[in-house]
Amino acid sequence: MSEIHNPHLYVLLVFDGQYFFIPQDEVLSIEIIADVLMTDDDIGAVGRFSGHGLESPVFCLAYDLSLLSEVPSCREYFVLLKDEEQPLGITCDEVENINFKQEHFYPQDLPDVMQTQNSPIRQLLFYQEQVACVCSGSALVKYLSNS
Amino acid sequence: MSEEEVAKTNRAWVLDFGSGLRAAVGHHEMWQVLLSPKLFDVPCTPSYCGEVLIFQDRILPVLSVSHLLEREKNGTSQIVGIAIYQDDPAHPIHYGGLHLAEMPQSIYVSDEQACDLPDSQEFWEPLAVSCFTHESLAIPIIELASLFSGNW
Repeated sequence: MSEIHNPHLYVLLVFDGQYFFIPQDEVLSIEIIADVLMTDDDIGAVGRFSGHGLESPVFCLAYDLSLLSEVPSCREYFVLLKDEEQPLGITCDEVENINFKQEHFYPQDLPDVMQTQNSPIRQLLFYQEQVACVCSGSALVKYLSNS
Repeated sequence: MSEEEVAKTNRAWVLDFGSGLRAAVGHHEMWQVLLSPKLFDVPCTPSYCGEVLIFQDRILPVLSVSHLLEREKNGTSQIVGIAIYQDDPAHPIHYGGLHLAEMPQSIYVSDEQACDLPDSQEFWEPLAVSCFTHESLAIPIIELASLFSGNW
């Protein structure tokens, strides 16, 4: 059965006070942090998750999207992003499904002057008195792969 | 000021970006000045433009010219000018924030004040469309569309 594509559905990740929206289509699953096997990893991951028939690295990010080597206690979940090679996890404090159309959310493109070559951020959105970042899962996977 | 003199002059704003950096924009290109606006950090952005603010339901970039040109962070200023610019006369208006060290100064500029951009200020060259002398200082007139394009 083919998946139904709804471009208005996003997954909200909250970590370190940062709000991140990723298209729901690009999220494989949401898992609990207890299922991560914590290991030292030379690619910067904090651990590995075995599921969906694959082993996936799990990353922990700070507010500025730098990699953390230790998982803060408030990270209760991780979001598994789809990728051709292997899924990739990002830990978060909170996670929620949001329908942009229902919520009347209209993200703005990241201003030209703020764009950098390696940034996964494509748009910005004012949400709950914060400026949230909107990015594609593939851009985030690429960013983490290059970190 | 006589009518003849008025006809030869234009109004402009002189902007003080700190670190001794001053430049001018057209009078219509500075919309408002905000004191201590709430700024939000955006990750993975250039160091000279890593903040945004909310203005009239828009998310605007806030650019530090002193950081861009001098590579110094203008960390103390709480003044942000809201600038208006167009990429092209046929395109919509855009807004952008500029960190300022002082409140903008409104002045009149005449053609007789035109001068060359001094060698000591050649770093303005990618952004300056002309230059004039004001209070014994050379003040470049900068193109805001270029500044906010990120392509210099």
